[in-house]
Amino acid sequence: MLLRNFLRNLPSFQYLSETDVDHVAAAMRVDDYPDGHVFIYQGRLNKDMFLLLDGEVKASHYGDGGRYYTLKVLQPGEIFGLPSLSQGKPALTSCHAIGRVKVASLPFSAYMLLYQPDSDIGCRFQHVIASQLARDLHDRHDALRKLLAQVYGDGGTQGA
Amino acid sequence: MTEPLMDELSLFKRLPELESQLGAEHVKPLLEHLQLLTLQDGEMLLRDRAPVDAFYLVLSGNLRLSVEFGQHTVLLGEIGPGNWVGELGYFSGVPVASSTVTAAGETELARLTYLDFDALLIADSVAVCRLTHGFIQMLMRRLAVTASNPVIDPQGEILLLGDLSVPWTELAQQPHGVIDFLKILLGVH
Repeated sequence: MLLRNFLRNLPSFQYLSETDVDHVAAAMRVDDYPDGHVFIYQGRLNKDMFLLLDGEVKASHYGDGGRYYTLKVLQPGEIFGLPSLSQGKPALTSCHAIGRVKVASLPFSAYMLLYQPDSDIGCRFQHVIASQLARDLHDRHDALRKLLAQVYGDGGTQGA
Repeated sequence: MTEPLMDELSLFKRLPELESQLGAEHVKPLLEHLQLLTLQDGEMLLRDRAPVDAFYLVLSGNLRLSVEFGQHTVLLGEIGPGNWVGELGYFSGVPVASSTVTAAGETELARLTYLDFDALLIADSVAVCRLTHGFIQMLMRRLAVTASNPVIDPQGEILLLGDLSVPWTELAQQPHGVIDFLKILLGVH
């Protein structure tokens, strides 16, 4: 699989020019990982932007109540690891492979170059980042609605 | 409740920090697309999963965000001046509201339609770039708050703990230098 062809077909990468996509693809490294491989540990600093190419990755969170729960199962084409990478803060979630996966990674140094403010490629790259974060938050709100449905189990028609 | 387009003076009176976020020369092109509106306490701006076609910037007051399932809600929190809603509908590519948004007290807002945002991208891409950086900070803050499961308060309301609102200092984007690079790489604040 050619990485740049994969990138060009992603909706969020439509903001990037052909040259931009070539630059991003050239800066990424593609690897296969075994089942259970941990890409990001909650509480540790993440130093790569990851793009899932094949397989599934589970994002989970160890909560204050001592429970470990799944936030999302990522599908091919989704980017992960952005908040910790962008903010330079410990990750709030752990991400690990479910089965064998193929993942492209962009190192922190290349990420910072792409994200340079006011540069043409930086502005377009920000759209890619914002699109993935919006998708993640959209999915999280869906999960909250499902939680309400589980708690009340009544189609939401009865008072709390 | 919608008023005509904003002028620079009225925006500056309400939100002087926007000039430092965008840069003085980028405020005017944005103003050509902004419309003012005022909500009274408890008035609804957006309904969860209803169509949305605009971003809304809080100029004064606060907006309360909640996710709905039937008659039940999870209160996500409140956002204050300088923060926006409506960005999820634009960047997710699904133009529906991701939460119910109501005014917490009298609240002044500026409305920027998705079409005008696209037009601004052509007219002044730097302004859009700086706004997008702010949207990214807001999305990351909201993701952090929603990472934890909700709790039930003594009144029986289901809510998330954490502050949804992003302070001005985090909305403005500064060029990265070598020092910033090393600070982020090493996780130093």
